[in-house]
Amino acid sequence: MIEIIVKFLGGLRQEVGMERTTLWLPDGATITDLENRLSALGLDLDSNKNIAVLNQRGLSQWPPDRLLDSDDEVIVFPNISGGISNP
Amino acid sequence: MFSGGYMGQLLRINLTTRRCSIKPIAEQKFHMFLGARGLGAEWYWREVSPKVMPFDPENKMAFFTGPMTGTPLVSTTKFELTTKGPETGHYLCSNSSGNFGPRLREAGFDGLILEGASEHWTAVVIENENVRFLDDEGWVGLTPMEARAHLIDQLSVHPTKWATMSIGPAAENRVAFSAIFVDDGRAFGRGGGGAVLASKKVKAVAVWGDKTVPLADPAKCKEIAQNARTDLKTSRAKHRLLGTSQLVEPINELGCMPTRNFQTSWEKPEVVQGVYAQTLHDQYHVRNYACYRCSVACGQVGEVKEGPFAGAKARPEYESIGLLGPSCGIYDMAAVIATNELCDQLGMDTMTAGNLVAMVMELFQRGLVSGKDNEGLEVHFGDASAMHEMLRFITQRRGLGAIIADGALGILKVHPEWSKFILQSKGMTFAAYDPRGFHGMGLAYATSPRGACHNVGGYTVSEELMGKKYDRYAVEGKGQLVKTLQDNRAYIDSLGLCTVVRGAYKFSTAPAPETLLAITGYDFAPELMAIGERISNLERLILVREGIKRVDDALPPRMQETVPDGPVAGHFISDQMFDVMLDEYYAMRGWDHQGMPRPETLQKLGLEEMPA
Repeated sequence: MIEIIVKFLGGLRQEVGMERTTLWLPDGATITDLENRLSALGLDLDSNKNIAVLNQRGLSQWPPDRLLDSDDEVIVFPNISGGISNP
Repeated sequence: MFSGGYMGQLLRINLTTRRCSIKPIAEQKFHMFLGARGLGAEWYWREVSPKVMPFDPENKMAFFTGPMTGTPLVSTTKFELTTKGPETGHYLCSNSSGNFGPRLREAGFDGLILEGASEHWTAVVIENENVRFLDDEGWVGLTPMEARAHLIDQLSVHPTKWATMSIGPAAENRVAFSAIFVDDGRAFGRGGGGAVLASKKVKAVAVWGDKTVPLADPAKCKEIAQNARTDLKTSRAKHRLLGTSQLVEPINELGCMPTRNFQTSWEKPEVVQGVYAQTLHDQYHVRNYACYRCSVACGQVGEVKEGPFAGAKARPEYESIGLLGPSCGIYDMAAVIATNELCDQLGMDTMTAGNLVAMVMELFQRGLVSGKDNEGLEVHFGDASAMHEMLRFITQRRGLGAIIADGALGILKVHPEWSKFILQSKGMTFAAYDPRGFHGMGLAYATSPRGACHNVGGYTVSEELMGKKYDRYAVEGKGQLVKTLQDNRAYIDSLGLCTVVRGAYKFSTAPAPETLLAITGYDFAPELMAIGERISNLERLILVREGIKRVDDALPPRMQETVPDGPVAGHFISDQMFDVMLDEYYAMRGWDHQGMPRPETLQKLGLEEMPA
């Protein structure tokens, strides 16, 4: 199993009701699997209301089939300002 | 032909002669420049000579509203200041919330021009079409809020309905980064507009009127307003809860928090936690602050209840926290609130104040200055009390404050060797994002028409994290990104709407038509991005006319230093990297190698008649 710690920052902490959580994913899990698990937590990532970051880069900027590793770090926080796709 | 959205009139007040005039605004100007920032740039091009200096009586100030300002939709609060500003010595555009813009429209005007200079300190009172002056040398020395209260005390009719602009002691002493405060909590913060108003001996302006902004389709506007309120209740719920301060945590986690004058870009979370949004909310929050017709009310008023800063009260936004806090080595929210309050009382921009005090702290750290240079006052990182005294020194032009008061460009004239400690572009100091962590922010700072600015220049952080084609450390693609963000922002700044709520009206790069159609009766939507591009190009023509060239679209030397630690350790922006971004940006803009708009670009935008 792969153990991924997800930290929630800013106002998202109140929304999800926790500061952090641990996700266990099967060996061979990918970015797509992680996105699905985050969505299952109720996080809205598709409409760009929240920003998910894996190892300092946007989650959506990684190849979807990139394999996850237990050292991976994930933070999620509200998209507070700006941007083209989320005015 | 517009059937709503504009009052169609401009009020001009000559402070020297005390004569006023009211003239119609040609409808074609609304078509080409929309309002607020766009109208301000068009006006500046015609009326502010490149030779005029910021404090000359010949310098003028314009306050333009947009078609949404004062309409019964949500957050229709914004209006724009345009003038020649002392912080950069060039064109300054700055927007503010508050009630003044809406009240100016209710008085019957889309814009207000102040020109000349009063012989005596005065306050200007605009009541519908009537203008009067309240001369009083007693205005001198009042804080912006005291001036507002003193002014309202003297106005006998409908005192609660007056909207005001006012300035503080920093402006009176021509501090290059003094602000104009609007009502009791918003401001034209950046660029030194306060000092320009002071140079005209105007301490405050009040406005009131009894008109309403005409609407093309009032019923549709009501429906749009209701839909916006419903949308914002969920989409901006976290903004209401914590405001912009919730950026502190992620920006530090992402390694682009200005820390000890940008010597690094990160600090341990257990340290930074002292200035987190959650800390502000849990320990200091007393109420939310709402601008005109805003259902979000994102302002977080904090009050210090105990300790050395007990009694301090302010509404710190992210930029103020970052630059008065970590950039000065301060991680105590009580100290940040107290410093923010002091800046408000002195009447200065918290962002440049934070940047330049951080610079002084680094000079002390490196032994480049000592107490002997500063009337015995030593100012070290982490020392909030010394920081407060330094801010008073700046306002009074004492010690090192005598130099700091003239802003980054003034400092560099006296001490060019300090350039590596001053984080600025074109004289305006950085916002609270280190571009070494998001290279697009570097291009945004360098090409912003008013100097380093995360709003006018373009806030790239979200796209550099979410855009599939972007890499935050890459230079390729940033030219297109910054151009698009700037043009988007230029039309939003021309609407009279707060950018925080723009999503509720779908004002994106592909804007929805219904809102402006319901307000004005004209379908602006297909033209909005082109209007934004037109404004960006006109602003560039202004800057070129004032002597700005490629060499001025630059970043300070510190950006070439590698970040020593934290998540972006090892990153930097070299001259070569920056040139790649700038070349791409100019190419996307249709500008030549020196940053001059090409004739075909101007023709495409209908600006071919503009070049001097």
